[in-house]
Amino acid sequence: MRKLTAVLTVGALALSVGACGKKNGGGDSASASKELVYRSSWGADEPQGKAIKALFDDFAKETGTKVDVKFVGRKGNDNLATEMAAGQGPDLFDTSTDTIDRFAAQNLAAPLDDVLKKQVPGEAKPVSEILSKAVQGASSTDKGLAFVPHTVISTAVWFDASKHPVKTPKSWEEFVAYLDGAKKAGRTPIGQDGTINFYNVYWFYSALVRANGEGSMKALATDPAAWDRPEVLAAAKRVEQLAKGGYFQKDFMATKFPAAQDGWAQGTYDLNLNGTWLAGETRPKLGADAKVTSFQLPVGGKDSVEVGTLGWGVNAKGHNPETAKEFLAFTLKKKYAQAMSESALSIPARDDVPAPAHLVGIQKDVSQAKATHRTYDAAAADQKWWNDVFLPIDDKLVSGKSDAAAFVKEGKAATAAYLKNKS
Amino acid sequence: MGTSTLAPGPVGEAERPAPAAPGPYETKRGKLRPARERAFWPFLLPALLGYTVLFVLPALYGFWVSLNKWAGPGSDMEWKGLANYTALLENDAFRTSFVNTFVLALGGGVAVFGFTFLSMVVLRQAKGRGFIRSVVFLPMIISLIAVGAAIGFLLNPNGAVNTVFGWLGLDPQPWLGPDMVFRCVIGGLVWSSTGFYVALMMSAADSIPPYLYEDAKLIGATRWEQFRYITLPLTWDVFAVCAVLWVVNSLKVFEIVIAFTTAGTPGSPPLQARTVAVQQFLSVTNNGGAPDLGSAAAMGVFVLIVTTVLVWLTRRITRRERVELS
Repeated sequence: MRKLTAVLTVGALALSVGACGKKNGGGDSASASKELVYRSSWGADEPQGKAIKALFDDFAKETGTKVDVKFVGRKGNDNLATEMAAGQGPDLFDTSTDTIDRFAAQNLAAPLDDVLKKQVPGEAKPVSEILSKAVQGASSTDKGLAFVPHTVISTAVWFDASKHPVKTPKSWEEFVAYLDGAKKAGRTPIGQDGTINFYNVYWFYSALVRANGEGSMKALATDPAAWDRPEVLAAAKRVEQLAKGGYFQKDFMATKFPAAQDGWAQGTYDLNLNGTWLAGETRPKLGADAKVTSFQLPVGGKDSVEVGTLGWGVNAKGHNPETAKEFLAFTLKKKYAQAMSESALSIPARDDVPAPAHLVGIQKDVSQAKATHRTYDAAAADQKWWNDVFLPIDDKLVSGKSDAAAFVKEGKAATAAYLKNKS
Repeated sequence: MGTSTLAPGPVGEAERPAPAAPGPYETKRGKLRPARERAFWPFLLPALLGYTVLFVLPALYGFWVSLNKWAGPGSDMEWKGLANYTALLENDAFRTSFVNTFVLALGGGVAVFGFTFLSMVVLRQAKGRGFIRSVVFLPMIISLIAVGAAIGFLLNPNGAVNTVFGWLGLDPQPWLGPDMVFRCVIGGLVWSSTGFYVALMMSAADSIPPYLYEDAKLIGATRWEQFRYITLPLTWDVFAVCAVLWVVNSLKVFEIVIAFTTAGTPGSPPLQARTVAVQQFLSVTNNGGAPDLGSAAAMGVFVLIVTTVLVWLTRRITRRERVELS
């Protein structure tokens, strides 16, 4: 019922947009001076928030634009899409590889291919040459560039070399040999927050897409026959091997986030398969002498590397789209990429600016990758299939309740049933 | 379901002990009536308008949305007829969540009212019962975010509960694993909401004249008999209201499932623990995917129908019992 009310409220808002809602745009004022409105999902005290604040301040000073920036935090932008649709949202919005589809579906993301041609102030190169093709791809929809990234995210197997020095395994066999060695030495090789299904799926996803490249997992969402491909069974068999091998901690499926990653940070577990944010999230538990580093899950084949991005989109119904685009080219100046790396400790969108020490390895993986794919191979775009069909079946595989053959059989049948009813 | 369903019906009104004296109202009522009738519309209209604009119209709009495919304001609406409904009926995840919601409403209801009645038997004459009542009520006001955080410390594989189990020589349990977590959710819900119903029922029990219990004691009635023949019949009206409240609340259980499972992350709870409200939430938010408001609205309509039927059933059952007892 409460959710119904939420749905109804959305409807009511649509009907009465003129009556309520905070006005964020200032485009209708008579004065012609430039304006830019942004409401950040970062907090003002977070390092990212501070870096972004400095960036906006510089932009205001150098271009004479009046900037209106508020830091509302993760939950502060819950109604953003609704406000934007009503023509009252800010000019810029936070988005990422896995959320841009939502804005695109509502026609709220202005196409940004013209930003690619813009010159980054103070540099001879246009945006299209500053951002790598993989980073551009991760920031695009099928209609072209949809947002301008500030941060690159990816997935890898992480370890703290100060506690568990791991020699980067070059093959699946070497990887499993390491796990066996750790187990024999009485340790728990892998910490897994099993209550988070989108972390559990990292194993199957990495095994499949890293070996078989972009589109290999996406196909599972759109074509039941794709489940019969031998590589799907092969990837599932590797997950089955991990599940049956007892490499995860006991009762990991009942481990509430973030207990397992905290345990990893404290050295209880050797490895954790996670995103580039892991060391940031677990910093208080890592200890001062931690030496976090990573390797790509060694599965052979195409050796494709995940590239996702976080960045800014331009509100298609905003009041100042041109100023917003000018700002986006401005954000790509080297000095701001350095700030993202040094103070926010994340991988900057420009690959000519080095990432912080623990991310240098994965930054290199990304920039030297022969093949890349987007976060979850974009298979999570169909969230209904993802949440209702795929993740539950994957959880059974990871937890050892089903095996690779059953996973394939069930996945194929459930996807076929789902697609039959899909609009 | 406005407050109208919760107000005591005319049957209850008639059966209340009559006031000691008829009072002056009897004679004045005749004169007041025309003035009341004149005031009827001016007084009703603002509320009626507000209710129509803020509830009835959006509800109808929600029903309209349920017949379409829609990603929210700004995107195109595509007519689907009843396809959203048929798709739901064939969706395993929705069916599971529907069954879960029923299990929770029934199982949780039995437990909540079992504990409530038990505490009414035990607490009625207990010393410091006001204090005990407050303590029992306390879980109700603790934020579920705090509960969610505490759950990890308590129920994780190496959490406090399993540690105690270890001391007692029992096997540690995967409390938050997909197969057990829904039972834990129901337990948590019973823990957090029983106090509310105890508070309501006890305050009704407090208004029962003590001499009835003194009489009962004189003829040798046990505590259980006192509850069965005095407390329960005289608090039945309140119980009927409580039962309806429980049904309405349990059908929209949401936060506690999130608190026990994915708390703080954009993950989805395991199928075994999803309620309809959780399933609806997944459709609306869609974690960055295009929201499927048509399907979410269809779930809303399902829940509305089910709530209406269950509330009607609850009212039927409690009303019949009431007549039987008097």
